[in-house]
Amino acid sequence: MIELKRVSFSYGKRKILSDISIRLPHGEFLAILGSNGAGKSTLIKLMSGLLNPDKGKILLDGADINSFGAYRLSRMRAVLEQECELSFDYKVSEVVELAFFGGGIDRGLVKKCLSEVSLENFEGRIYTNLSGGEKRRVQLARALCQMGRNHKGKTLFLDEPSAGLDPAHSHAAMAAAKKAALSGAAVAAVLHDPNLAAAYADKIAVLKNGKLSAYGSVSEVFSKDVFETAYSTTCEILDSPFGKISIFPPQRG
Amino acid sequence: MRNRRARLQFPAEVSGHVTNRRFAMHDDAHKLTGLCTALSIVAIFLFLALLSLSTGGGDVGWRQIFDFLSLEEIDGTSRLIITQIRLPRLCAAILAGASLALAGAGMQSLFRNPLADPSVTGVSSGAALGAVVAVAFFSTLWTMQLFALLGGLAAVAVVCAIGRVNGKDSVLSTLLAGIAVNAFCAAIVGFFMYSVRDAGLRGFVFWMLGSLDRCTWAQIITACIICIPSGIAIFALSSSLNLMLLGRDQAFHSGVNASKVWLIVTIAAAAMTAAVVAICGIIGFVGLVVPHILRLLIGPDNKKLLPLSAAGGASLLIFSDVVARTFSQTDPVPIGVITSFIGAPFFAFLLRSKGIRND
Repeated sequence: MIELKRVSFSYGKRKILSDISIRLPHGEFLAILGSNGAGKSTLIKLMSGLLNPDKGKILLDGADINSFGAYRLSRMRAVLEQECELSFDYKVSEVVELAFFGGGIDRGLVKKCLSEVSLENFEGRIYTNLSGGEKRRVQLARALCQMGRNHKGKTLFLDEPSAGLDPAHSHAAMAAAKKAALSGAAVAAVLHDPNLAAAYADKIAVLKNGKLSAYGSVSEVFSKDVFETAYSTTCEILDSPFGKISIFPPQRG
Repeated sequence: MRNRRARLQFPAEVSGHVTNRRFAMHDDAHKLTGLCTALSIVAIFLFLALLSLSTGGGDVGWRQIFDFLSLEEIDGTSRLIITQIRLPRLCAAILAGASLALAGAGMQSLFRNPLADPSVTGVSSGAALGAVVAVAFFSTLWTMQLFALLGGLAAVAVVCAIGRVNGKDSVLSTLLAGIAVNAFCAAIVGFFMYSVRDAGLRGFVFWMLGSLDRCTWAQIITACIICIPSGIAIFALSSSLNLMLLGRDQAFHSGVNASKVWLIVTIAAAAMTAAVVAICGIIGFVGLVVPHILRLLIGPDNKKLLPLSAAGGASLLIFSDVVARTFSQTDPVPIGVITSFIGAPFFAFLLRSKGIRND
């Protein structure tokens, strides 16, 4: 479980996040929404132990996350960062195998994770020759591999897992994350599409100017008012055969 | 529907088996290529080492070299030529080539930049400046090594500071900063050479284009004391360097203490380069071209790339030295001229035929 207690963070004098309190138990999927620059990626960096908060505490399984070393942390949680560029010609399988730092390579798990992101026959392909969306899926497979075969008690942080993916692959990526949650992992994902959050997450946290403007279950948060405040634009909530969906009407002229 | 038809034609177990077998064969072929490349490099290295020992002035050829290596009696003059001239020269070439290639491969992974190299990032010229200052004011072997190390570290610190824009390492800024530091250090080295003492233009050529002419056993041993532990440190971090290619943040997420790896590899690469520059001057292109060539042949995995880069760098420098001495035995061409002359066209050729690995 990961718990943020009144966390604040600044880059120099610029305040990025203030007074954030979130509790994410294992088995739960948290979607983090908000407009560009709201502090979502910084929140993921804090939750994953990359940054230290200026104020407040972040507890991973009851202990201060910054008290763990890099290797110990890597056995407890995996992170998909926004950036996924590589300068050298690694094969797809070699990129995914980087997940096994400090241990033996489980080739069966590599195949399984690649298959979860629909990249079954990509093992021998050169990573740098892939499209942006394919690279993203390879990195997601690497993060899933780092979680190991038993997800129970581990945490998965995903910064925009669906960025650059077509609708089918977005759903596949989200389904893989949901599967990790259902098998006992705590999952936190930064998303830009509220509908993806509604379809897969258990809870939604909405950030606005570095503050938590809404936080709760999907049914509590998924509303016109919350999204209009968060994104500063008009929003409509409609009923669909798959539940409520949000629509952001085009801005004319 | 299309998927369904495909599944009907190739049941899951069968298609999975075929795919696995194809990849197993692909992996085996890849491992065989890697093994052949490694064995070829070792064979080339051994052949070149023998060629280097048998090349040069005096009546010492293959026969005397084999007698010497098989611990048989040879005449005093031949023994002297081998132990005091050719062997130190060979050892200096091996040490310098291996160190520069290893430093280049390490820096490329660390900077995530295929163009990073001790000479591009300003380490070599900073070290040369340090060594020249030491020669001008102190003139002992240890002060020269120390000043070369300080010069190299100062140069890489300046380049890293300028190359880091808004908290992120910028490839372009790093390269431009390297060019600026190189030019600045070269200007000061030139000023010292012309105004302090030593042999003016000759000295400048030694420091800026490199030479194995002045290497003595004492210098080589001093450089070994710095280069061997630094090389071991870089080898030991090969798995971490693979992850550093994903970026410092992602390397941390994957279990690497990124700041520690960054610090150790930067200092080790700078120390190795500085130690080499202090005894041989600046020998450009080795750290850039050798890891590149090998990466195209065996892939970017640092666990294989780093040791083979060391062997490849040593081979390139031995070969360059043999060529340099073939032109003139009494006054060899600066070795840096030869490394660039050999390295650049070969590098261009390999880049054109990059399909080697893009299967």
